[in-house]
Amino acid sequence: MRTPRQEWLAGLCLAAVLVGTPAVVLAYQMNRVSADVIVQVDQEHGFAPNAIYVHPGEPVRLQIHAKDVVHGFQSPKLGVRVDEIYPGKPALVEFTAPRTPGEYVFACARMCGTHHGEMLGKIVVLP
Amino acid sequence: MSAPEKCAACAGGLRTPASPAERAVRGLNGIPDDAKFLGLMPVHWRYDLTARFPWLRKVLRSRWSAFLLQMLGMLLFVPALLAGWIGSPVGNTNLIIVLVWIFWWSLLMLVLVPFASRIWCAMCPLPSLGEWLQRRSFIVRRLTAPLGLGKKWPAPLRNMWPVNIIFLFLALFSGILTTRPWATALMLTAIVVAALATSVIFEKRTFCRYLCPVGGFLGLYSNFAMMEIRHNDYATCRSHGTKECVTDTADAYACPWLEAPTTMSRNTYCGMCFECFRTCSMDNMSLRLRPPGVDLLVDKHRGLDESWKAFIMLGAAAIYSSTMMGPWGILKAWANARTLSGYLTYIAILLTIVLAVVPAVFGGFVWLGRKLSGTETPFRKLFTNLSYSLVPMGLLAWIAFSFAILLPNGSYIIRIISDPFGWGWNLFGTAAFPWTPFGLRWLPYLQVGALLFGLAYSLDVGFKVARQTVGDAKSAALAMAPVALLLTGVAAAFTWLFVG
Repeated sequence: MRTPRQEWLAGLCLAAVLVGTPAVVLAYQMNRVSADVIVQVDQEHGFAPNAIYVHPGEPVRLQIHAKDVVHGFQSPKLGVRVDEIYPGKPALVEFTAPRTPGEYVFACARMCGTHHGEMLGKIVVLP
Repeated sequence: MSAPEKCAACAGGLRTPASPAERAVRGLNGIPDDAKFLGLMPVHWRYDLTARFPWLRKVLRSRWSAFLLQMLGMLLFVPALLAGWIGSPVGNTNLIIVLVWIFWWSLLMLVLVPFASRIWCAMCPLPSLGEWLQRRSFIVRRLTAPLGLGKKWPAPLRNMWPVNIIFLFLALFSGILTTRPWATALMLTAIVVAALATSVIFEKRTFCRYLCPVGGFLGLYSNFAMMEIRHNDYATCRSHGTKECVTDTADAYACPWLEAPTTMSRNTYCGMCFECFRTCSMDNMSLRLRPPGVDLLVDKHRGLDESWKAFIMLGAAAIYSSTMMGPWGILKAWANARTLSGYLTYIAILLTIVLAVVPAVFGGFVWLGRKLSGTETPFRKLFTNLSYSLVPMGLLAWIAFSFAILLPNGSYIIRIISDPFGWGWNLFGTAAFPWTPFGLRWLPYLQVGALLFGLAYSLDVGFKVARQTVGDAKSAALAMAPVALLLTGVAAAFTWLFVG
């Protein structure tokens, strides 16, 4: 039995949503140029996102929002540090991603509470 | 296929049943023709939207409309599921939590169910893959046999008990489901797989009708909805031999929900897919507005399965409100499974209240009413029928609850559209939008207003059902009086919980 044209069209619509959506999302995430990332931080959840993907050598700008108490941000390997980030006053952290692919850990730079030691994240420099 | 005939009874306005046969089909036994809800809205009032807006009938008859509605659901569902599996683990930064538990839930309870019945079922993406696979088609009617075994659902399970059990099972994990993206993603994936498997084994929309955890309360509360799909002119249906709406034809499918649109008198199992519009060669189906709650007066198909659904939903509304908004932090800790013993305590409380305490208390009040009135009506019948008076109260309690979800948390939606995966995106420049409670000063008024409306409607429905069940007015009033007292107490308890 021949498949009517409208069936093909409907099938294409469905394929576009089922396959296209994940493809577009992942492609966008993997190819974000000049990372400009909003980072939320609170004691209960830590950094969100806690993994930030960047390309080698690209300029990165993190806008960090403390949601509960005063937090900080540090990554010795990337050479960045902000001692105090107050709730309601987002901090801007700008740096250039290293040329060497790999994971660069960041952490809270201020003793913010009982979960301070668990407040970690990583900048992933893609190959 | 004969040409569609125009029907004479298409106009809106007051439509009293035309004949004893139609009266029997509608099932509004004992409800006078001049009866009104709250003394204002005539029970028999209808406004035929498809007669008033012919383009609407055209849209509903199009096979594309069903597909496009399902694709709309799919467009929301696919990114949400993706976010649940690979996005941020933090609930309020992940699309799946914000979309499902704030946006969808509020939309469902505040708008779709009260105004448009089960219209959500028409766009629900969860059973779509199963239905398309079963039909071997997205849009056109294929003449090949449906894919799968096409078995009939077992007769003893053709009721709401299976969905009651599945709903309760999921309710046990509500604390986890509503905060952990992976948990919601797992639940939705499991539902898609279950719907797919059910489509392969059983006929048509068996999953939606008998197994969907959301379908149970949507069905029950849709009896309160202000919209209905019904036959237009009963005489036309009666004299029409073919009845395509119950038998598949070459042009269209019979009702996928296994209903008989010719005699359908309640919204409970009508999934608003509009297939009956497409299949009826007499063009005798209509989409109408009506006063809320008409189906609660229908003296047909009532059963204990639906009574328990009403108890479960009312009890669950009380427990969720206590957990999420009450002053007892320990309840929240238990529900979030911080400790195993706490979690088991929460499960025990939830199941005991919804399955035993609420029905037992309600039964006690019904027993008292029966004694007071001296009616000979069997206790079980009175218990079952009067339990439908809990529906307006239950739905309006959920509406009050949903206001308290949407107003404080709605601003997450603004943020999430820019960063749906919690990966630090800023698609539309709103990723840094701070959490901003909206309209909180109006919240108590909205909640109390909803509860008072629910109480008034429940009392009205209760007295009408009592009159229908017991017979004379005085006995009915006495039979309903204790339940009325109970309903007032329930409304007072919810008021205290929300604004006390």
